[in-house]
Amino acid sequence: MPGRPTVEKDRGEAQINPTKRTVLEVQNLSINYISEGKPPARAVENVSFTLKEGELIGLVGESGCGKTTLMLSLLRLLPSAGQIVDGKVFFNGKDLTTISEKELNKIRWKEISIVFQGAMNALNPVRTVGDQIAEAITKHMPDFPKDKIQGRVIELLDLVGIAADHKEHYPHQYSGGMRQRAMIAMALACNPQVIIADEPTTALDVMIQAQILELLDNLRKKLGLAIVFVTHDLGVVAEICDKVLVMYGGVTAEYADVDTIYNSARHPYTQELLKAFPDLTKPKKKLSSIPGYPPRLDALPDGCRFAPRCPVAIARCHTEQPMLHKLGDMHIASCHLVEASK
Amino acid sequence: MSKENFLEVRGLKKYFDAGRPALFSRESRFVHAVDDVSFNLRRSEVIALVGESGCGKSTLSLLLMGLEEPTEGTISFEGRDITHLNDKERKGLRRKIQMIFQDPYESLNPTQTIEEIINEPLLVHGIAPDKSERDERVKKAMEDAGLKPAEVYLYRFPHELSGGQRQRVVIAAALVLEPEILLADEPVSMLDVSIRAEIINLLAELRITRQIAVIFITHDLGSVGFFADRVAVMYLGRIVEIGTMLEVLEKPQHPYTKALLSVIPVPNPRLRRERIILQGETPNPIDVPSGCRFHPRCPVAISTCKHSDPPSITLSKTHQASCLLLVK
Ligand SMILES: Nc1ncnc2c1ncn2[C@@H]1O[C@H](COP(=O)(O)OP(=O)(O)OP(=O)(O)O)[C@@H](O)[C@H]1O
Ligand SMILES: Nc1ncnc2c1ncn2[C@@H]1O[C@H](COP(=O)(O)OP(=O)(O)OP(=O)(O)O)[C@@H](O)[C@H]1O
Ligand SMILES: [Mg+2]
Ligand SMILES: [Mg+2]
Repeated sequence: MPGRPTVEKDRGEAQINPTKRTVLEVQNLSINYISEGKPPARAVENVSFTLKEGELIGLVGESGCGKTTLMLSLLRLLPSAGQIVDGKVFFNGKDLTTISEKELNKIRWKEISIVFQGAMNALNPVRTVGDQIAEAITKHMPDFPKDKIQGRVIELLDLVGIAADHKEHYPHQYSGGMRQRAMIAMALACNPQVIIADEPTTALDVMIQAQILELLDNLRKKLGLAIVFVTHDLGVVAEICDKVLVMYGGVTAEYADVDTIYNSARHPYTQELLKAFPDLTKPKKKLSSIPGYPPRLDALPDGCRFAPRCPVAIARCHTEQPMLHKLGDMHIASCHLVEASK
Repeated sequence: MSKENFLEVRGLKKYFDAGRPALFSRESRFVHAVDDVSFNLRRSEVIALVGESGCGKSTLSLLLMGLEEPTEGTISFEGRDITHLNDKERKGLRRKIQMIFQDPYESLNPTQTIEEIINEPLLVHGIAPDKSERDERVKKAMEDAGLKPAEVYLYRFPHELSGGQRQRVVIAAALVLEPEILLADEPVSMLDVSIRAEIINLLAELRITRQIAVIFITHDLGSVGFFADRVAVMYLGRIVEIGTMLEVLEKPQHPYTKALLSVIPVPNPRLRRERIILQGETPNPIDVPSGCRFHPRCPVAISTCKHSDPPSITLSKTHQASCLLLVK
């Protein structure tokens, strides 16, 4: 019965596989936004994660917690106020924070590409979607044979489930779900190894969201893509991710494989987020919310950034920032209480 | 007055003129945005109206507000036919039926303070001519909407509030007229999960403290669970299933409801389950499919579904669904 979740065997396993090659390794990355006359805003602090071939990682956190900032920094696409102040980003062994612009341009779009947040609403309204995809191909691959471009556009549209005859249509003739598919097609234009999708389903309804999740899941199986899926919705990533990074106010709250995050989370923020979720197996249960609001970057608390909202905070939490504690091979949480119970 | 005829909707239709398909075509075509909808809302009852984007949810609520003129059908409130009213009658009614619009951020004027925003409906309706009485009502509406203490927020501007607080301002501006019905069009879809729960809890409280009936519009069946009394599932302009919350969530009968339920994300990978992912989108309401309007996307359709439009089948006193497979 669909009302009651049933365990489906062949879809349940996460893909964490130690023998797979690491493609992206982010180490202790910190990013500040600098504005004159003000102290730097510490938008991202000491965040690390790794991504292997064919793996799908979920990056989850409330609005303003630094998800987009972190993703843009990986390809050094931050606005000029945003500066990487510490950390490294290794892609196939190369540190993207130090290589030249010229070298980085060989990686942008060709190896790692981003589906930008809200970009589906920024398609040019007076040009056909097919034209815009063709332009993405020529812009990133000037040597691409001209006579093969239209064929490639059709191939890309097909990959994301859009029939070829929609090529000549304008963005307003596309629904929201189709526009998002077109954005994914553009990101795939140069056959990248990694796709970063920043909130690709946030504005879409649940059925279209399910379609996009299915599409991304199929693409990684078919093309061996590694995917970073950015969302504020912890439920969405449970469906397809292998591991999850939960961010709070610019820092890592918890980082673990998907099963650990949903069944043995140790950070109070992760635990509270899970409780805020409607559970259809208990429809009468009142939802729990997390009172208060995320910290403002210009007025960060002295201790743990979550302490002012944390239901189990102790005195120390308000004065001292917690470190990242390793709780297992693939499990990290930044909480003083975790350390105490270790 | 019987509880039953608080708000009654019968055979409601709204067809928008979509123009002629070609210059010399004789007949113009119509968008069947709302296509024969009937239901009752009881006093202080919460109905969740659920369906995909474009199925006609917002149009239905605009009809109920009198902001769109129905093509056919009737709406009555407290036994009185309110389908066609003049401006004066409409204004009087608007105090009793209030709406929270789909894009709350756009409905807040950035140059007004919170106090001005919430005061405005009182001025427009000429309610409480006395300033101190107005202040009192503004304050009460704010505190009922969880903006406590009101003094902290009164003189702020919308951009100085968080997303959840802004949504509370929108709710307070609807509450200040002390309505009996609140139409909430996707009030939480744009919000973070942690704030979503807070706003749903707030609405659940209001129906108890203020005895307000709520029509809660959403595309996400998952968010209506604990506080809806009944759930109405809409597909392409029509209610295809309606029942108590437990009937719809635990014993869904229409294949569309089953699919909608199956794609609600479950926040636990151990409970990953089979999802019935409907392909494509809701068909264009200009060309409504023949027979059962859901048949082209239905995973269990049989050949008769192409030709006959299913009647509403009564499954219990409170539960109806329109599907040929349910015909005994
Ligand atoms: N150009 C900028 N200058 C200064 N601060 C900025 C700039 N861009 C973003 N910020 C701040 O950095 C923080 C992180 O923003 P970011 O956009 O990365 O958040 P996010 O997690 O992607 O949020 P959302 O879910 O709303 O997209 C926020 O507090 C934001 O206000
Ligand atoms: N003024 C109008 N003129 C013509 N067509 C309209 C008008 N308003 C709505 N429609 C069409 O009527 C149908 C129903 O739209 P409506 O906005 O009611 O859907 P909805 O269920 O609220 O969707 P969403 O979840 O996207 O808000 C859509 O096909 C829409 O394009
Ligand atoms: Mg963002
Ligand atoms: Mg709508």
